[in-house]
Amino acid sequence: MNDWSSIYRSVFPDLVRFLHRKVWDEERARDLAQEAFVRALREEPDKPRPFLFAVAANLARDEARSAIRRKRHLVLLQGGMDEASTADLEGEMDRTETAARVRAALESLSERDREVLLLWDGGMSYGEIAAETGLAAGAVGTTLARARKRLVDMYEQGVRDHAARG
Amino acid sequence: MQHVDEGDLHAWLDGALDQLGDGRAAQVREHLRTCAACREALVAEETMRARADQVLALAVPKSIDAPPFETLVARARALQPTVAPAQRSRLSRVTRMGWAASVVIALGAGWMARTLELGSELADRVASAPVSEVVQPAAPSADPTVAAPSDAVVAAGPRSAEMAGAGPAGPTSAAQPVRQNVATPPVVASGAGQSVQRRAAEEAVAPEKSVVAQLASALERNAPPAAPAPVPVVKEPAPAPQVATEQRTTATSANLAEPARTTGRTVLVSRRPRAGEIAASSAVPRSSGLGIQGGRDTTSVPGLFARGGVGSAGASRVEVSTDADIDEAVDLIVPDLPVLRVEWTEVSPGRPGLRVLQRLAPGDTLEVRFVRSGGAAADAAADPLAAVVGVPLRAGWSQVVRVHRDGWLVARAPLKVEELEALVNSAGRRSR
Repeated sequence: MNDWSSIYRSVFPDLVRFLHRKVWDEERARDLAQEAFVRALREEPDKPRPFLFAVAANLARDEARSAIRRKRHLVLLQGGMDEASTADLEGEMDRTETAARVRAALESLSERDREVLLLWDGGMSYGEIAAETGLAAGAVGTTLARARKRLVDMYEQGVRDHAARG
Repeated sequence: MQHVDEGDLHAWLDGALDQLGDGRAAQVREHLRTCAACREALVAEETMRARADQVLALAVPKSIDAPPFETLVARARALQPTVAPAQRSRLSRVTRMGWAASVVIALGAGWMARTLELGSELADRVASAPVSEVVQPAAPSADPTVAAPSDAVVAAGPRSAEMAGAGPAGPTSAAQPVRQNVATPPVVASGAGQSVQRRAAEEAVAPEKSVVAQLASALERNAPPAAPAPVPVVKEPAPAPQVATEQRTTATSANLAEPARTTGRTVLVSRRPRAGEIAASSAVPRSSGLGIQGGRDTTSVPGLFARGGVGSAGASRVEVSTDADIDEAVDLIVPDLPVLRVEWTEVSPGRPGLRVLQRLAPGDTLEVRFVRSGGAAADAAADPLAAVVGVPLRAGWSQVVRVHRDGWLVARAPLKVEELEALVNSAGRRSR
């Protein structure tokens, strides 16, 4: 039997990270991760992580299809600002800008490449990724190689463009 | 066999080669053993893969506040039950052992593309053994504001005393027997000329002293004043852009121990480490505790995060949990640095290790890896730089620190805790 409390502890951060890179909204990512866990607790799947990521991927897909996206407060203004110094604020803006660049790079990937990359980053094995995406296990490495290269290229191009604009 | 394609190289780097099946893994391993071109390609892909990981790490949620597990269980129960009665009783058991702590990620402000990685690889050395550091040129950075350090040569005195308490011999290693191919052996000078060489090398770092050089200086300043053994200095010539790839290949080949995908589990940090604990206990990690468990399915957990100060080394706070296993990890943490992640990993098949990721100044991370030596033969296979350094590794636990910047290997040496701290402080100052 699965120890769900420890699964929760271990997979939840991965799941939020995964979802965050799909919906680009921290709070929404946490909500969806919780939703995935609620479903998992009801279904008690044998393989929790693949199940959770499959549910999360579906939830994110539904979310993207939904025409009405809930507007969230800017990450910039969330929490802890009373303690924040000017340096923190500047750092926060850097952070937001950087994240936007990563997002643009990720979104330049094909849907499948992006999915494989994010699933891998979420801790899924080649076999699990193959099962989730329908790829052959032997093709996961090739897909990851391509996705990583493009991610890096596009991100660095974004950095260069930014520098060129001054 | 034909050359190994990119996909298989990435499978190798991801520790997923065996999942390809049908003897392909063996073919790839054998080919990598004998084909220098493919090993070079592997190093290039490794660098790219590391860079991709860095880029991905730039887009993470600011915090992950996991709600109490019980609330999720309650929500699951509140829904129309779809589970069989037997399963429902399992749910209630889940409730009883509910987990109430919260995991918080606090990535600091200004996490930039540039990453300074200070990796540490275990390989116990004889107490009196000399230590060499090879300082390589940093990669040309995509970020024009990041000065690429020139080559520099550092040498530090023997500093193995802290590793006296070596643990029991590690498991027989199944490390990938891919060896470094040192195409152009670097000049190896004896200890006598080291300071001259270092000075010359430092002068070559211009105009702004590079992070690497500062790290090197920090290392050197903290070396024991009375160095009883000669220190071999490995000097690489200043690289022309064309030879950079070759040199990087040489250097990063040190990483050619086949990595396994992280099988570590998350640990929560239970207490703030005391100064001086790092080396003391890293030399003898207990083998129980967070031991590597077989498959990734249930154990892969990249995610311990502790709340840390933003951009300030002194602001680190390490939150408390109750997991007794954590003591091991805590002992490896540099005091006063925000902890981003602590995880057990299998650094190569059969070779467990601990990875500690901490944040330096904005944009820099410190990564220390502690690996259990698999014995001389396995270490030699896994650590091609040993051929250059020429110091035999001793079985057991130890640390060899590698400094990476933008994916480039810049130094390698065992470090005392004070040295590590000096390194960290130096890097922190430089980055601000």
